[in-house]
Amino acid sequence: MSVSKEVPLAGVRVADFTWVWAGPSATLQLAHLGAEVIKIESLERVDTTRRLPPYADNTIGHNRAGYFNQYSQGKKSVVLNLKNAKGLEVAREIVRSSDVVADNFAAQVMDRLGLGYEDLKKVRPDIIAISMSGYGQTGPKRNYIAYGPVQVPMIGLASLSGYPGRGPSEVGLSYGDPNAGMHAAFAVLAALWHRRRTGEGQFIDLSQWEAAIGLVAEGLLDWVFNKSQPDRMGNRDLAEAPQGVFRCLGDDRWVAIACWSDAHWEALARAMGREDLVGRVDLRTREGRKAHELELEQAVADWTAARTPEDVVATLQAAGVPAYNPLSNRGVAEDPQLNARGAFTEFDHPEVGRRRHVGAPWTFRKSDVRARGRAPLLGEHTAEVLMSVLGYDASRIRELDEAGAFGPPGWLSRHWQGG
Amino acid sequence: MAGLPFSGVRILDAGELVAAAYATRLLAHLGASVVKLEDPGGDPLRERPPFVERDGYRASALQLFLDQCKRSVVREADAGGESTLGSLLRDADVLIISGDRRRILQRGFDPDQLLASYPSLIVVTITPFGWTGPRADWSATELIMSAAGGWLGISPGALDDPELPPLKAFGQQCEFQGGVHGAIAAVAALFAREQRGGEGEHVDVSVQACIASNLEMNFMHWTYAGRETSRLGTRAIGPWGIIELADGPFFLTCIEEDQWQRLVQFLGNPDWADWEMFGDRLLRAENNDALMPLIQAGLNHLTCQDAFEQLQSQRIACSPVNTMEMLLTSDHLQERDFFVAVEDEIFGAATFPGAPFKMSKTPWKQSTRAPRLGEHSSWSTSALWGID
Repeated sequence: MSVSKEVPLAGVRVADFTWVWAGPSATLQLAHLGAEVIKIESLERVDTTRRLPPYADNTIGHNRAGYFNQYSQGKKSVVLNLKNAKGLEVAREIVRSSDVVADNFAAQVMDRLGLGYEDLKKVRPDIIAISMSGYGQTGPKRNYIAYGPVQVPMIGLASLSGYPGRGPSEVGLSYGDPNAGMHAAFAVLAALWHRRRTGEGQFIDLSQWEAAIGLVAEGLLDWVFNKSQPDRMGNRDLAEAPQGVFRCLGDDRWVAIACWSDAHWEALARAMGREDLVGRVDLRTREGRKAHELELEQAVADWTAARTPEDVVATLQAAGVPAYNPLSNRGVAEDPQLNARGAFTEFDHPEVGRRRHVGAPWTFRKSDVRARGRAPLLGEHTAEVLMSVLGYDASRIRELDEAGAFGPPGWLSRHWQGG
Repeated sequence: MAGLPFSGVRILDAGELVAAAYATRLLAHLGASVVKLEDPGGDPLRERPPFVERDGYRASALQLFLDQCKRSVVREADAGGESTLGSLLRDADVLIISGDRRRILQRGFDPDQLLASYPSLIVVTITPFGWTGPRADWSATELIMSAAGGWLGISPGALDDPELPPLKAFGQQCEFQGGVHGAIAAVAALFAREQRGGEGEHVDVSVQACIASNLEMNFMHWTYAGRETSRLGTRAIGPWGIIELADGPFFLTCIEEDQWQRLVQFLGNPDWADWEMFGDRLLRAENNDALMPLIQAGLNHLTCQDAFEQLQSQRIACSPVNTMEMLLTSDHLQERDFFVAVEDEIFGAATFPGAPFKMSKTPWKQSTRAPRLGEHSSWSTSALWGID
């Protein structure tokens, strides 16, 4: 007997005008939770992530890009030309039957399109609209543009991160994007919870900059209280030692080790066969270890240099010491823990076949929460959504197509049967 | 607080360090009643730098930030203490807890047992590797979660010196991401519980999986094209990176072709802009090390502030590499009232980051200072939850 599980966002529809990474990562979470996410796409300006490698088997194509296919899992794709009056009208109709409207354009872009909150409210008074612009909707720099990588220097993370004695550093990810996306998903959930109780919709002004500043609180508050900014310290910790990424046996192989308690330290020293260090009174407190940081790092480095990362991690984890090798993308895909937990998805996709993606990072014991399916092909659900959600018939869709509501006149009928 | 989204929702925060504290911070500022349940020694968060010291008192500034709008109760080891815990659990909607799984079990928080005793409770665990799986009991701190999630290995990206190791981002970014994911999961579980007629459940958040789900296009380089990533690899797009201007470091990138064209024009259409090696954004990424010095030479007569304003007026994505002082004095952030002042009888009035987003109808609750350890231990449970 199959027991039907509750879908947290059952019946919630999202008109998703977002693109690139921040917005799509937000609506992906809502899709995992069961919302119907209708992504409005432009043929004139196809989503950046459909136009970036990696492409499946290195063959370029809008439906073959891994970046797009990761963050669009379980969504529907509708193409609309928002600069065409009829296309805009269809967009408004989708909004009318939606609960949430999301965008991550620069401020005022939605207003210029005629899809600003004041316009949306006229179409659907209890709509929840969220804009995730770089700087927010107000303030002197509201029209400035920002992408996720720009947020890293903007929030001060670049000035705090880096190798000792070298300049400010990037951190390998366009970190502002997913962070804005997760905060946006949370904000939308809060607004939905509020609306369910009061019937009241609202507008959420998310500045990607502000959503991330709290994450450097340790740096910021050091300035507020002590008028000092921490020096760039590589992989060290502000308080604990030894901590670092140490070279291992092999070509460019490394292991991350962190001692954050007396117990960690004692176990590490024993695992390294350094009873002499275990016995040292001056290393028994975190302050003592921090004061001897260089010496302890050298001891760890000497020990790891003769071992593989796998060897080090197995030995240390068995002793209760935090350690892991810094995984590559391949390491992530093959990681036994992630695989055992079903962290990955593999859906059949008509153009790229079965490809491994990362699914929902949470497991609900009793609710139906998961990646819902593969990413959509460009414009795949245009006719379907117009029929099922808006109740249009085939002849009306054909008229819209001829009028250029979707893109170049006739695009839909050329690309999709039933259009 | 009537009018806030989560008014009437009761959250018990039994976490350690950042993840649970950040999850419950987000909920507290949107109206939930949050009781922070601490072991007698206090949340180790209280021992995290930076510290503020005044008049012989010392506190963690990070804790002063994360625990605003919460109440602190110390869990006593005696039977009386357990009954306080029992009544808190009976009345709570959500328990949020973070840390190593073994540590959580050792502290007596087993989700299965809790749900057997309190069937309407939502238990959100935020653990490094998740609650199940062969490595669920492995130990981790921030650096280790970054390694296991696949972030550390690709950072800083496009590194020019292979002798340098993978680089951790400053602070406790994995913990913070675990926290915001935990907050999402907690609210989703509230929606589902309502549909189930009040029956609670265990929600299991794996920080490793949260980080793995945030790897941009890097993960798919393996599953789509068989390319293994490293910190030494090239960038996705060029130009992209930090250059040195007249008065400091400055970041610039051109994501789209029209942005690049405007940059070239801004630089006075130099000959090199037409070179084949800079022909499109992927070629520019491959040759970014050659490109950035040329851009730097074309801009380094400008101060960061001038470059920022002039390039942004051309709609080119860029920013000075902000220091903490620059953030705190930003005219834009000030005009948006982003920072908030929080009064504390011991540590004085201080500036803290405020709301991560602005909701038009349900604004972020005004901050009240973080509680001292056990400050509300003697309060009745109804007072703790704010029921009068």
